[in-house]
Amino acid sequence: MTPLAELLDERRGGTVVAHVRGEVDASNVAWLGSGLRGLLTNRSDALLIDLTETTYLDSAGIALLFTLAGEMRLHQQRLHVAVVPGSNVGRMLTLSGLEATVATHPGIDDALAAIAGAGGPATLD
Amino acid sequence: VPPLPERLELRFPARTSALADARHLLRRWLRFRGAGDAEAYDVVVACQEACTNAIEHAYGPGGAEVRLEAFIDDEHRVHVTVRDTGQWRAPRGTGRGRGLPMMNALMDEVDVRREAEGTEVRLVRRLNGDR
Repeated sequence: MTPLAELLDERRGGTVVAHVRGEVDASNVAWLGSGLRGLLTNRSDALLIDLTETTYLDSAGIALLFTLAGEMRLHQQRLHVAVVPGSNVGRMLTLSGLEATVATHPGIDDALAAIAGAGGPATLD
Repeated sequence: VPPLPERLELRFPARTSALADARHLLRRWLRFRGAGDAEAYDVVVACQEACTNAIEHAYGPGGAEVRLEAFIDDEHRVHVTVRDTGQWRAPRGTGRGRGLPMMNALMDEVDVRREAEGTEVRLVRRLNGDR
């Protein structure tokens, strides 16, 4: 059976970029959560989750983003999300109120520029 | 490829591994019936929230199944009913209570009935073909 989603990662400076391609639901959200947590090290200042190629996301995945953001804040790390504004997944993030908690960017380059511009490790809000 | 009837009726085991197939079929049915891309996505997410809740509330191993029925009325409103046959129990959940607010945000009407035989969630949304 073809997996619903795949997770690819790369490092850009102090930022880990995690590309989530495909569909995230209650059946694979635990897999995704452990994959994303596995990408975080003490040396990472920020994690950028790229949802621009995510074709399905519901509250299972959104709950993971909230949880991850909270965990990272405790370690002075900052979660960033890239999502196409107005896309199906983007609308779900807006509805959930995630954007009030997690820095959301319209694309990877915008996100990386914002992270670089912020400079240094994130401070506690 | 299964046919796309006027009234969609799905039954699947109360397991999260069944969610994707149900979602893909519901989405195809909605699009075939004239729903726009965005509104079809909204309705699919709302239904998946109901199905996920049903799966996570379903009691005990095996046996429990989820039933989904959908039709579109004369006023272009899609009606979806999701029923589970399991006993209700406290959610162990991946959605952490975000499912119901999501359904409320995505649908015009959300009606949850918990009965001894299981839980029934009725969802209604007017379709306009993303106009």
